[in-house]
Amino acid sequence: MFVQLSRIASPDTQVFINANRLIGVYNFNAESNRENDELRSLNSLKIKDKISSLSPENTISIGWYLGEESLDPFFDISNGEILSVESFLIEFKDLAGTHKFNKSYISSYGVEASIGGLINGEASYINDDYFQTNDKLSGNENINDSFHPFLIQKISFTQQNIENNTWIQCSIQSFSFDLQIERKRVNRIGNRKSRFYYPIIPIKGSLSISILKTEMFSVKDFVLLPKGDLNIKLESCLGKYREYSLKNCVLDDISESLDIDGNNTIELKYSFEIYERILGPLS
Amino acid sequence: MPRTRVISQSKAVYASPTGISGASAFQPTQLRRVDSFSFDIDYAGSRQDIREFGRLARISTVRASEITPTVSLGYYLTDGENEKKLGLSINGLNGNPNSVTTLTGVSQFISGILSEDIVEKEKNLYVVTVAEGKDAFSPNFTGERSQHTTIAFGNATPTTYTANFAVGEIPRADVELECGNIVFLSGSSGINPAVNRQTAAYIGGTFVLPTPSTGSSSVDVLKHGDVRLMFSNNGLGVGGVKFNDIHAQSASVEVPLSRESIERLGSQLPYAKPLEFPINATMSVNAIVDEYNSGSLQTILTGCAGLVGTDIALVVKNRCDQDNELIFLMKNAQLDNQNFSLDLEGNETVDLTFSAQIGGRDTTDAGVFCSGAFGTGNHTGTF
Repeated sequence: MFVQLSRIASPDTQVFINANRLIGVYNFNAESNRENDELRSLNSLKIKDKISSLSPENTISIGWYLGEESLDPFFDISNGEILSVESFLIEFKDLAGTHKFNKSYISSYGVEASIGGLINGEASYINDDYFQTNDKLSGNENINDSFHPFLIQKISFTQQNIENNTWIQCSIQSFSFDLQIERKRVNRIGNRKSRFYYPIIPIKGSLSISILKTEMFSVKDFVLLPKGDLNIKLESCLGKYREYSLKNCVLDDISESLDIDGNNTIELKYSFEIYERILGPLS
Repeated sequence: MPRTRVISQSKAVYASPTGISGASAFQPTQLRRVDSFSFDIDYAGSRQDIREFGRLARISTVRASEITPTVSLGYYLTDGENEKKLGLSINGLNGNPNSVTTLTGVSQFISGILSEDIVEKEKNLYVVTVAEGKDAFSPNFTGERSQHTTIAFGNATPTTYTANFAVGEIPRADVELECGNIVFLSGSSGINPAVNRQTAAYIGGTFVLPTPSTGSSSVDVLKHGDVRLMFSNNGLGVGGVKFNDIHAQSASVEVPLSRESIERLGSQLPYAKPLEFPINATMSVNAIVDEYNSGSLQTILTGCAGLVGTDIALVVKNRCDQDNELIFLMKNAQLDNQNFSLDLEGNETVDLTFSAQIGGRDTTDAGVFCSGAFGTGNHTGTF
């Protein structure tokens, strides 16, 4: 008997990448952008028709909590690296059916954390091969995930190749980094869909750190990182950890601000480029 | 034999500094005339549920912020003894208390807290419960420790202090505190409940509670009839009541001491909890109206009226109306509110609210100052 759905909520939805169900997903967004060509002819002011010569380009973004059990939607599934042309099948399955985004290429990746919250990851993908199926969740799939999140209380920053880790002294209130992987679509005559999307090099990353000022920090004296490698280690309550290694970070911007009854904060902005793997395995 | 219930007869309250490590167990001092004590531990407020797509129930919870137990403590005012034990300054005044214009501030009521003095700003509190049916104030206290239970509150910082004086009531103080840790113990001795804010580890030391008693203060409690309310200015140029002619029914002094929790990534607890500024102390007076002052509200907008402050003194003598036991002085108070009301059967009353902003610990021309006879033996008319 057909039962009309009244709505679809988050418990009725699951996200898969290459048939692996992602754990800890809190946000999913898909957007399709159609580029239409207008057909016009001489002797007429009207637009005769609009056609799209290429398959529409879709952007998919996924947000997830970082923890022991959470599958990094890129690093834990990829055989290659961010510089590769590896593609993924992303499925968004709910009680109504499944959205399938075939041959999706990662276009951005980021992690952010701040006081009072959890550590969040966000990844975006780009593709032009989308279709739907009637493959539905039955509503009886039991998910008994246990989850041990990485804790903001256990984040540590270390600077490579120096004796003393000055980051320990800093009252870091929040940090975020993200990689923007601009990709170029490669088509060929006879195909509406792309052959692949290849990354445009260099791939740039940006890192922002917000610190409460408790002493005079000096960039000149290398108390704070002016240029170098920074490791960000995330740890769970059970002691398991993952580590991001951001190489060749260069300090682009420092700003300091204070207002009445507020605390003096320092914002640091770094940029870096991707040449190698940035995320270590879960240990 | 287990208790069937716990009543106030079986309770005593103590306070100590947080740094009590040493070779021998520290003996906290007792807070006297306590008539109310309550505490609350909110576990849920610090928790954050983690939910994901595909599941209705949460998959995990994580503690996103610190758990901050709160304590409410109420006691009858005497000579400033409890104030001193809670880290407040009761030696902050000089001058003749018979005239508010001669009283001068020496150090703020919250000077120790303002300077973030580790001895004054943070205390441990202890509440002992003795065997059912027995007075806590018993000479057999030390011999019956095995029947006691103690709740120890570590890193307690006051968040509000209020002193209330009202006709027909015994003058009292109510203090709200926030704690960093609570330890439930068998007996009346144990580990220091205070924790290190950087590491969340116990800072070490032990305590043993001494035998509690009524104490040796010359006053049991203060009386409303021994309270004098004096203003240095009889009016502030905007009209309304003549301050020194009102028949005060109640007066209260409130000093808010809220703190900001500063956390950082990688730290288990907030590594600092500084005071939030500005600190606006308030004095509220409810009185029966007698005479009015001339004046106009319009003068605030066009003249200098409303810019003038007044000093307000609450002087309390002992029961023999001879010695000054406790004095509160609010300097450079601004009038915030005048509220008049009258009905068919009552007297016309006015509610006055004044506020004074507390400056640094050495600021003497504005703020709240206190003087108490405890410990000084100073019962003369001049401080």
